[in-house]
Amino acid sequence: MKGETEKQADYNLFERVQNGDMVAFNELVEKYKQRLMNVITRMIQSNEEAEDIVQETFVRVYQHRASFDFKHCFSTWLYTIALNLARNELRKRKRFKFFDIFDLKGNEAEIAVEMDMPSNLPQILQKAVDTLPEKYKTAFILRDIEELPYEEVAKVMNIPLGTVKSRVNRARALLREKLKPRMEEYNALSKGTLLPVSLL
Amino acid sequence: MRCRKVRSFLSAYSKSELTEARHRAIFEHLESCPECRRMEAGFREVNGALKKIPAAQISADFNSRLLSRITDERYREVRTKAFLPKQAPVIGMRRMAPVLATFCLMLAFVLTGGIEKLLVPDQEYMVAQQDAPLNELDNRYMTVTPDAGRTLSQHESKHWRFDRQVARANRVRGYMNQLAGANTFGGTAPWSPDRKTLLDRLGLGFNTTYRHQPIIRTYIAPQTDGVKEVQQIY
Repeated sequence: MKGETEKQADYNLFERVQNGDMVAFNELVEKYKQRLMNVITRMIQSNEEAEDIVQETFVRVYQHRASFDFKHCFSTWLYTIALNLARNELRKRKRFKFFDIFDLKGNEAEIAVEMDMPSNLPQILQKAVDTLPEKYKTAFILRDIEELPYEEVAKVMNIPLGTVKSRVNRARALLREKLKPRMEEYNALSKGTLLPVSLL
Repeated sequence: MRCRKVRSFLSAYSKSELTEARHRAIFEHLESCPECRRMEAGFREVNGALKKIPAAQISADFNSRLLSRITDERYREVRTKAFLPKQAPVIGMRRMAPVLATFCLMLAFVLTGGIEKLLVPDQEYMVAQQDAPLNELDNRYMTVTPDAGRTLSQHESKHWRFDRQVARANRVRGYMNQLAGANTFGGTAPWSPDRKTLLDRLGLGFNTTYRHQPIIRTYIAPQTDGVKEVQQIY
């Protein structure tokens, strides 16, 4: 019910945008920019580039506002544009691989360094999410971080519903496996143990 | 339910995404299986940590930069509409394609001297015309059938003027023969026109005015007995 109301509100706003109302456009930007940033930043692991992509998404929405089909959900359309742009960016990166001096340490080493500080669990989890394969990561971010319904994730990713469920399940299992040892340490410390479980 | 099957549902269980019946079945299994319970706790930990992941940072000038880009976009749209109507190039090219093709063909025709060929008569044809007249006229005169003129038209013959004159001559010949009683069996046929009508048709009637100079000055009418010469009809 809440979803339907939100959907209708988006339609109303977008109709106003189609009629040239920039206030309505600004409202849509305010409503969705943080959500898009959350998804795209996690996808491409760069805040500046994610911001550029989110900007480009809104510009594309404005450019193609006349071609929007009201049969579809506005947020689905928006996420699809953003994800396509992010995928293009990732593809471009693969083609022209840039080396950062910090990358030379290796991602795993960085995770390990951060994992030595169990109090920073969300950051550790974020790093673990970054290491997931792209197809699992996209489904996982949209479902578990953005909390979109499975049906919408399927539409955004243009894959069957069953495939989405399976990918999300697989991503969760992978994350749990990656974090398992550190989680135990974290739990032990949070229960007042002075030393990590592995040293006991 | 076996452990292996239960474990495939544990992540969904931890998120409460299962149906009520399956949820209850897994709950009952977890109560009796410490290993699966530990796994389920792992999923819960991950879920809890996910909620604590900080939101991505957005720079303070995000909106102003976006507004600037949208303004550029609006300006470009207005400028495009002002100088180039929407979809005009596509439709224009579709409509212009046959026009351009015709224009190119016409240009090629002019450049290769096609117009001159059209305007200036063919010299060979002109020479043939000059040489032909006598023989052709004779031949046509002798071979023409009485009603041939009626079927001739400007489009059917290059020599339509000549043919028309021949046809008229044939008609005149027919009328003269009727006046003279020829082509009848011993007198005027019941279906033949009367004398007044024939004279009218010949342009000799009371109310008839002759508008064209006939080419026939002398006509030799075939008769049953001997040759009768009809001279100076008009």
